[in-house]
Amino acid sequence: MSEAKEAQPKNDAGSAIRTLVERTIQRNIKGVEYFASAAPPVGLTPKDTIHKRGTLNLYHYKPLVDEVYRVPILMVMATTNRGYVFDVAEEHSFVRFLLNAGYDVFVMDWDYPRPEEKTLSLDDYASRFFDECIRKVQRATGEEEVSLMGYCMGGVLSTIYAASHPEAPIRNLACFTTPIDFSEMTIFSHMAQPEYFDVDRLVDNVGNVSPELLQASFDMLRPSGRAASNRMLWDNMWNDEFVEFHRKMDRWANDMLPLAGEYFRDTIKKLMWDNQLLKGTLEVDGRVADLANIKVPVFHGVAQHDHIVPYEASRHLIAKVGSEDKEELVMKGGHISLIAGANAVRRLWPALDAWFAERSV
Amino acid sequence: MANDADPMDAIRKAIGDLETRFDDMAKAVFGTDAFARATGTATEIGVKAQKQMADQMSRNLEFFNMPSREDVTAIGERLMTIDERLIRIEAAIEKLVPPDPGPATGPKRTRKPPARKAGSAKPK
Repeated sequence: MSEAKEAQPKNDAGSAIRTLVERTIQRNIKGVEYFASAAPPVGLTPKDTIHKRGTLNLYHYKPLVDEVYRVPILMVMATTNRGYVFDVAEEHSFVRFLLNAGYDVFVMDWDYPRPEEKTLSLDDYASRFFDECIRKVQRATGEEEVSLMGYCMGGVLSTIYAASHPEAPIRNLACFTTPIDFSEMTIFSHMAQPEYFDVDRLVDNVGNVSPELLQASFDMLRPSGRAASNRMLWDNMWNDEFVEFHRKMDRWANDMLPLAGEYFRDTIKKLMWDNQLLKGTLEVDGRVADLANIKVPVFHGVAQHDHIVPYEASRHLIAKVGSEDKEELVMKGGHISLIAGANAVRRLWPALDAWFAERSV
Repeated sequence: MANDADPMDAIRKAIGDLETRFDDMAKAVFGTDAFARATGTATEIGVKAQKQMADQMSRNLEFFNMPSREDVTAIGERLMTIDERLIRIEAAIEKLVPPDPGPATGPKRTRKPPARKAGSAKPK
């Protein structure tokens, strides 16, 4: 009896060492493959581009089921990044999940703004683009109502549109990690203050703001992030599934977009400096974006460990909207893992499906 | 991916802790006025340098009788204006034409949510 007990830890230690050696060998073999192989493809779910206007693309994903919910969903991507994070891999595709769950899915995505698009402002992004895209969705589906779903700055734009267009045919509003109180955006807010940062000089001289500047700002929020990411990649190099997903997400995280000059100026001055969205004084296209104007059902998904949009910045959305039907879901995870990856597959997506299903008929 | 019996776990944890401490220290520095001021100055210098290079390049292109970035941008702006005008015309036409009843080949829009479990919240 006692011999058997003693033998167990030895076997465990032996098996652990064996695993360690095997993984070390695999790391070296697969590490060579990693550098020799091409970047894995992303955004493969079939879709049509039904509207294109400079930086703006509107995609309509091809349905995967025979019967869909009446109300289509219009997803709005953050203006700093590409929309393929919603469709990063077949088994980790938010879009594919929604299509299989029976939704008709449209995505507002962004390309590099062209030099002449430096004049696009917050009015364009939070008002005119929405008017255009909603009209296109209505024509493509024959339905009057549309549900909006925005991620990060896409959530901010969706919220501003809903708040400034109370008559718009919005059925539901779902946002993820959406900042409302920009004074709580820690380092972003501090470094963008007018005494340190001359946004006018920057925009007047360069036009569109380069992605390198934005990337550097994001890196400052987690300085060890890149080293930690590479360390995790090396540690899991033996695991093909991990490596493939890591490469896709790494490609997405580094594929940042420039921001249109006037839009950047508006974001800094109106949102960062004056915190107008929180105060209810923000005006877009001549309309006041008062969050109390939002009366449609609202869902807000926030991440417990979000280092980009802390909970203090995002918690005001549910508190300030005028809707009776509103729900905030605080989930484990970070800014990106909330919407993409295994964490999202298990937590956010099913919760969102349950919420939307009853409100999309 | 961590294995409970993995002898590397202690090292992973130590490195993770080190990274967290490094992040906290760096963020404390990034949050200071001096750092914000220095970054602002560096950005301004970069912008000035970029502007000077762009101006010089523009003069060179003019010397060689070639279109500058400003010329190309000006053409782009005119195209954008035409684009916007087309979008406005399209919107006006759409208002006159009754909306499409939907693609005949598309899926039915009659899906109903699965039956709610007893005790779960009903939407208001």
